[in-house]
Formats: sequence, C-alpha cells, structure tokens
Amino acid sequence: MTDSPVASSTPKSAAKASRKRTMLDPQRPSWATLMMFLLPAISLLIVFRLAPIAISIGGSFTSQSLLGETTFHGLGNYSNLFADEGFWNSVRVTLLFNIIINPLQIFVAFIMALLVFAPGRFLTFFRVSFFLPMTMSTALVAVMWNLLFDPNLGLVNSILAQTPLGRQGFFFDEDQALGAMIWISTWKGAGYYMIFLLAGLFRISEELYEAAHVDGASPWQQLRLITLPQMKRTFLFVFVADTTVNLLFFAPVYIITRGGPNGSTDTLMYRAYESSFTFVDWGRALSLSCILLSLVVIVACAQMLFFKPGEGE
Amino acid sequence: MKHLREFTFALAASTFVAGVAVADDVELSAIGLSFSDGALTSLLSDAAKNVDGVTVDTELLPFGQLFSGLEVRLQARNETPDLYYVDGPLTASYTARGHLTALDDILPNASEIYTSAALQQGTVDGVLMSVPLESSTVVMLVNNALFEQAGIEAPTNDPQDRWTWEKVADAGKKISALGEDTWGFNFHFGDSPYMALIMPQSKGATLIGDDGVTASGYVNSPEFIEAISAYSALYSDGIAPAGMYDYSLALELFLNGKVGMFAGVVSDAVTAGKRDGLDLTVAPLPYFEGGTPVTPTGSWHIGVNPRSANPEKAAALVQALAQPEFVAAYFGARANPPVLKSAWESLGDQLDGELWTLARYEINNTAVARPSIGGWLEYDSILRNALREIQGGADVTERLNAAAAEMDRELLKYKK
Repeated sequence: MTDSPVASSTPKSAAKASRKRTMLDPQRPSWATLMMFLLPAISLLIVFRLAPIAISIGGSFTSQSLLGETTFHGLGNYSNLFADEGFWNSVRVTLLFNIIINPLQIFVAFIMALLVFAPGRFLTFFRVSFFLPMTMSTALVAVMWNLLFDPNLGLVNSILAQTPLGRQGFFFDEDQALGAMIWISTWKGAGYYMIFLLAGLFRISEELYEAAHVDGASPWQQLRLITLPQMKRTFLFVFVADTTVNLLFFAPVYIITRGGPNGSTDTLMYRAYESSFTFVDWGRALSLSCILLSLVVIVACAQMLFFKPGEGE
Repeated sequence: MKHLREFTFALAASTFVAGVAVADDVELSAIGLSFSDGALTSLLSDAAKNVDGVTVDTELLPFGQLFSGLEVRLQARNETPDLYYVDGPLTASYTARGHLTALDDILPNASEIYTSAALQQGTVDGVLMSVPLESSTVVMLVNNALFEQAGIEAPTNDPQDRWTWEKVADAGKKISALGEDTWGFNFHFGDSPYMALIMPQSKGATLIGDDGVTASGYVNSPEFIEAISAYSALYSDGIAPAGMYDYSLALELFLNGKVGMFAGVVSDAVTAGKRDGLDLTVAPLPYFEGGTPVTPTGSWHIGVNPRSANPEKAAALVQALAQPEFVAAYFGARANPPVLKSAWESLGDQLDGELWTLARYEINNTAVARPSIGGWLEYDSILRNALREIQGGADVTERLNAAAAEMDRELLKYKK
C-alpha cells in the first residue's frame, strides 16, 4: 500500500502551498483574492446603484393606486409625459442649463487651476480660497445666495440700487433665474473641478515645457500645443463628472425657486421630485428618472467619444 | 468590605430591574412640527409619562420640510412613524391614501370635547381620522407709529370697524412711501394659500367644485381672478415685499417696525405684544367692499399610522394628548387658539384682552376652513407656485388658467 499518511499528504500539502503562493502572489492573484477585494465594492454598487436603477426601470412601466397597489401600465407613463408641455419645458431647461454651465464651470476651473499652478506668493491661500466653497453644503450655499440676491433686503441688490443698473430680480425674474442658478452652481463647483485639473497639470512632464521654451514657443503656444492636448484625459473625466452632476441639478431649485418663475428653472430632476412627493405619482416620477438616466448615459458616451485621447496623449 | 459587596450587589440588582423596566417600555416614533425651540419633543415626552410603558422619540421638521418629509416616510408604507403631525386640510388626503387610522373608538366623546371647526378638519366622511392639537386664526397687526408718520388714522380692534382691502391698499401706499425699506402691508405666509385664499373667498369665489377634483371654472372664475388681481397689486404697487418666502424674516420685518399692517396668526400677535417699542393694535382682517368678511382657520392635528407596530400604545398616547393638561402645556409653548372647548374656560385668564376677544369673534363668525379634499396637497402646491409667480408679475388670468388646468390633471386620481 502506498497510501501511507506521509505519502498521501505530500501532494495535498504541495497543492495547498501552491494555492497559498498564488493567493499571495501579487502578479498572479487567484479568483478568491480578486473577489475578496472586489466583493465589498461590487455589493455596494449593486445595492445602491444597480438595484435602484433596475427598480426604476421596472417601476416606470407601472402605476400606483392611491392605496399603493401597483399595476402594469405599459408605456402609459412615457406617452403621458411626451404629451405634456411641461415635460418638454423641463427638457429644454435642463439641456440649456447644461449647455451653458458645463463649459463655463470647466473653463473657470481651468483658469483657476492655471492661476494656482504657477509658483507665487500666497499660493496656498488662493488654492484654499478657491476650494473653500466646495466644502459648504449645497443647501447652505442655496440659502446664502438666496439671501444675498433677495429682491428686498439682499446685499447684492442694496449695492446695485446705488448703480445705474438698479435692483434686479435674480431668482425672482423669469429671465434671470436660470442664470442665477448657473452662477451659484459655478461658485460652488468650480473649485472642486479645479483640484482635478490642477492634478492633471502637475502630471505634464516639465521636459516638454523646457523643450518648447528652447524652441522659442510663446506661453500661448505652450498652452495650446502642450497643456491642452496633455490634459485631454483629465478634461474627459472632469467633463463627464460635471455633466452628470449638473444633469441631476436639484437642491437649489427645490430650496429657492421650486421650478419657477414660470417654469424657467423647472429641471427634470425637480420635476421627478415633485411628481413623487407632491403629486404622489410614482410611475411618472420613475419615468422621468429613467429619461434622465438615459440622457446622462448618452451625454457621457458622446463626451467620451469626443474627448477620446489619441496616441501619446 | 462587606458593605461594599452589598452595595455593589444592590446597585447591580437595581440596574438590572431598571433595565428590564426600560426594556419593557415601547418607544413610539413621532414626526412633528418644529416650533418654539423644539418644544414639541418635551410636550410629547411629558404626555407619554401619563401612559404606562410608553416613551416617544420625536423627530422635528421645520414647516418648509414637514410635508415632503412626511411624504417620503409615509410612502414607504412601513410601521414608522407611529404618530405624525397632520395639517388639518391634509387629513382627507392621508385618509384617501391609507395613511391614517380611524380614531372614533379611541375618542368616542370627541364631538363633546373639541371645538367643531377643529374637529371638522380631522373628520372624513363622518369618521375622526386625526386629533386636533391647536387651531389658528389670522388677525391684522398694525404698527401705529408708521400710521402716525404717514398721517393716517390706524384701524381699530373693533370687528364692526373692519377695513376693506381697498382701504388697506390706499394706506399701504402711503406707508410704503415713507422709505425704501418700509412696506405698507405684508402677509406672514405670503405665498401660502392658507392666507391668500381669504381674498377670493371674500369676493364670494368657490375654491373647488363639489366633486373635489374640478378646479377649472373655480380657481379661474371671474371672482377668483378679480381677488387675486388685488393680491397681485399689493406687490406690483410696492405695498408688500414680493418674494419674501422666508416666514421668520417676514415676521421679523414687522417686529422691527418696517411694515405697517401684517396679517399674522394669533401667536404672532402674542410675540409682537412682547416686543419693546412696538406700538401695536390688533385689528380684524380686511375684506372686499361689497364682499364678505372671511378669516382663514386651520388646525394642526396628530394622526396614527395604520401600519404602526404598536397601535394600542399609539392610541393611548393620543388619548393623553386630548387631556386638558396637555392642551394647557401646548398653549404655553405656542399661544394659538386651543381646540378643547374646556380650555377656553380653564385658560380664561390667559385668553382675556383685545387679542383673544377678537380671535374668539373671528373663529365664531368669519372663519372659513380650507376645503377638505383628497388632493389638497396638490391644490396647495400648485396654487402656491402660481401665487409666487403672480407676486413676481405674472399675468393673473393666464397663471390661474394654467394652475386650474394643472390641478384638474393632478386631482383626477382622487375622483370617486
């Protein structure tokens, strides 16, 4: 008999040792190792992202009775939405808001990043100052700017009243409300994106600038031919992140204007909120959420195609 | 050493017994309105002391977030909160959506102990669905000093001498002309249908069709449009500050002597009465010439979640909230008209004076409650948005037509 305890344990222990080596080998991690690290993140992603999305998509084809009984409604919620003028106004407002705010916010963030990139006095002070608005909660920022822009007692209007411009309506004026929203969102958000763009600027090799300098390139040429192409990956990330956030723009609208005046700030996100928590229409709210989700996916894909980095970038 | 051992043993035993007692207590969850520095938390906790084995964990929400916060929680359709604050006109809405427990068996003598107006707001199809805690009426607070500066005679406290809206507008223009930061008139809740609806009601307008779901023809009726045009003129003529949706700021402006006439609830009048240097008259709310004097009334209630895991305990707490001691303590925290008939007698010394005489007169003679319809949440929200835009200069007829159409669409789901 060859199956003595010693003889039989040798291949088993060798296999065990081999498994252990593979598990610990960073070059050849086993599935178990991979899953051990990935599972927590994947679980959270499923629970907090994918499952709600699946529920939303399913729910958008249903309607609820007043007592909460759910029935299949087919495409009814979508057809009702498409027949609603208010919905199309919300689409228009959401797109207009994004068409203006995304390039503006990133342009401002990039200028700020360039300003705090170059060495100079009080550099840390300026970096912190630019980033500081991001540390405030959106609700607080909305309340603060609402007070500052108040048509009766606001500080901004008290100053404007002394100038030829006179008092302005801001959030209270149909023609200015969306602009005022863009202003507060940029004031809060630009500093955040500045940090990513600053990191991108630090990533560019110093040698490229030195070579350009030797070749006699002007600062403008250096920016156009070195900085901007080298920043393409960073811009891609910032554009996608910024657009996603701004397509879901909600809190200031809820706090300050409630979609008014005359629907001028009635974003899709606010409309979805109002449908569910004021008008108690879950089917419509979920349809709006799905449309919003589709919009985010389409825009993000388009941006990824447009900003796709080329060879060597 | 022996004593120490005995002491330790006694301490451990008493801690264990106390722990068991606490563990046996049921903690009810409640959501309520934040007022008077969170007074409701201690009011409910004190009331719970009169109910065996009950404690209350109260979550307070400010007025602006109360309704949406409740919607989020109630639409989850689970066992929390056990009890929650109900704005009177929303009783029908919560009932239609299965969010309230019938309370007739808990308070069979409700019709004997509560004032009829408050009880009516908590009753749907003859069944008591929410129990009143406090009611409200609105008066016009007058800053006599501003009237004197403008050279106008101020309104008096006498309901027979009630001003018209036309007279308020005339006096308001003169007071507003005193300075850029001075206004003739303001509502405490400027964008709230609770206050603004008295204008169309005074013109004789009906707020909603008999079916409770038809708004077209009512919200945009000629009387409604005419009355809301007068509301619009208050803002376009600079008599009232447009866009003031921060209610505490609106009150503070009056308390600081910047507003000549202020439509506020009774507790505002109590606050104003305590403000040093404010020469105050409490006058009745105006009405339209040729119309009817109308004052708003409403009440805050408490309701029981039908999915509560502790319905008996929640019911016992509701009974404790119907006791005169609780109503008196509540009145001490927020001096609005009490809902128990007996409180008007027991709090007699606190309900004397010009203010309470007028408040009692208005409640008995001119108060009109908002319609008790399933879709009040939608009606209120749509009209509130319309009022905000009308304050901003939107065309009254166009905006009310749009609001009526939106209401028709959103109220349809409540059609029986």
